Amino acid sequence: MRSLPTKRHCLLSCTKYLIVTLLVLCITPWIGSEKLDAEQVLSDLTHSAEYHIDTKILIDQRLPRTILAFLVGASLALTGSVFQVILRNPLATPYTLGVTGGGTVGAYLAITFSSLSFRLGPLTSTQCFALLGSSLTLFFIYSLAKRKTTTSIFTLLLTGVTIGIFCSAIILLLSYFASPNKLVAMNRWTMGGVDVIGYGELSALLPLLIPGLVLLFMQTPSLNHIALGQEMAMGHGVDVHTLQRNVFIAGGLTTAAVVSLAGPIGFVGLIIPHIVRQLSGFDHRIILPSTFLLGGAFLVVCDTIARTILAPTEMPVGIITAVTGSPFFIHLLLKNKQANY
Amino acid sequence: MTLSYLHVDQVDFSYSHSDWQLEHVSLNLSPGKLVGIIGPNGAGKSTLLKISAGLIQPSKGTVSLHGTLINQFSRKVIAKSLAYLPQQVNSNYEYTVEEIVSMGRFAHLKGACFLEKSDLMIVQDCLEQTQTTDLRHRYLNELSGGQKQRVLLASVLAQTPKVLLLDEPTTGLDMYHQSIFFNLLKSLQNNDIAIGIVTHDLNLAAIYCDELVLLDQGKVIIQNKTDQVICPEVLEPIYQDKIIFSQYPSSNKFVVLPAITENN
Repeated sequence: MRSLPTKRHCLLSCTKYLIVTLLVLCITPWIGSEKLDAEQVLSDLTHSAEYHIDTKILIDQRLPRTILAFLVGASLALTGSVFQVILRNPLATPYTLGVTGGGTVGAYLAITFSSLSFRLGPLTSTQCFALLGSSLTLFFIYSLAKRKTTTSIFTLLLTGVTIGIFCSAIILLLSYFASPNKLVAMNRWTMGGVDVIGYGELSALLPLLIPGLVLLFMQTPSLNHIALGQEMAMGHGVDVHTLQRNVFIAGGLTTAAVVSLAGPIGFVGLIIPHIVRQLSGFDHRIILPSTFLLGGAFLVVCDTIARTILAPTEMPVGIITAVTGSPFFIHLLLKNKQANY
Repeated sequence: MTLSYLHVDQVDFSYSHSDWQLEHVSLNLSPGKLVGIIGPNGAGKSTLLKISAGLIQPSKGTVSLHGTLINQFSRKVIAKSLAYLPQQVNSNYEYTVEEIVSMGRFAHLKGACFLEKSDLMIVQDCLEQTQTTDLRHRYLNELSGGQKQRVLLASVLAQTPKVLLLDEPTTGLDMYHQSIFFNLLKSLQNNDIAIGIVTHDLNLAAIYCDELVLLDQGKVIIQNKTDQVICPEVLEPIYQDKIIFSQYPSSNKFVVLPAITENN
């Protein structure tokens, strides 16, 4: 029997995910091909002015990577859960609106025309072009779907899918003419990864990511209503058109930022929202923070596996997300078969 | 003259890529009155209800809620005094009856929309009023059509509205549940709520509504007291020879039956 969710109940539900996330964030930076001396690191952090190599690895390499993996996973999962309810489509992902296609074309162009190579602050030309491609796609899709007072979800979806297909064609074309070494770089980018060098790239991500995430979280109270359909939601007092516009812009910005830095990492945005709904119900005041935390923790764990399983080389994290997530999701589906999910 | 809560004045509306249009349509909903909106398919009943609820904007004319143009209010302010129940409500998500009804309090809540004690009492009242208290822990998707409609009515009643707009709420219900639903609406009239209901069922309209608006091909044919509308002179030009009239057993009211043609 499920009673009405209170503030306490929501906090308690989210706390479970928070504990898991904190554990993951505390443990995983210590795991890697290079074994770190915890005592040495702790003593460095508390006393020493000159850091030991282990401390440098932890602070300069493992920590920024862990934070990036968390932010990427959390953002993709959060955007996925909001898109699934707004588009009323359980298969919706952050990539449904075609933003990734634009990002990939941008990245491929930067790799193809290496004479364009530059650095903009901490960002490489590939990351800059990916961001530009994603943003242009976002702008294009939005201007097509925008009506006088509404945003057409139908046009949004169709345009997103069409742009995705069009981008795939350009991607194939660029791959066809690419030299073998560039082809490898392209393939590697498509597989996604969170192997950053330092905090610079992380800070470059934040101006897009933070407004996007805040705007997405601000929509939380309206999302339960939109799950009952647009008209019922409007009847209850939800400004559906503003909600759709905010979600599209915020989700688009978040995805563009994430894709430009980490490439198109699949699966997290699709599966994590479903797992959270199966574990914690359908109230978005619980779903959104929980999805954010679990998505982040999940990608951190996957990245830890990706960088250790074939050490000293690394496996693309997208492979690990799919291989570890799918069986768990199928297990949950079978377990909850009786729950009409 | 009673002050009308909702006044729709000479509205026009057309859908893009369609010749059909709603022309110069007006509607008045006053407290304590149950007004039925009737007419054949495609007459514009649901469109009129959506315009009245401020869901779609008319190309001409105005809609006023308590004397103020409805488009000057935010959706939240509208929802505090006007509730709208659409024709179809479906969800892939499993919400309990109690959760669905509590969602009706959205417009009155701030922040993350957690219910206060007073809101919980209103939710409880609405569950009791619609006889759905026993269902409160069940999921909406598990309920029968009649139960579901009563739950959705409870959800819009939780808005504590002054104007209630319902779009074909009894479609698909058997006579027993139709009767329960309309008797429930009659009981709400005592709370000074103005109710507008779209229905295909001329007999339910004849028996329960105080006034009727008859629409045909986007135009109002007549808005008058029910017995002035449910009569052969008004309905036969619209429904032609497909209907016949009979007398309701315990009153002088007309009821309408489908006509048996010679082919049958």
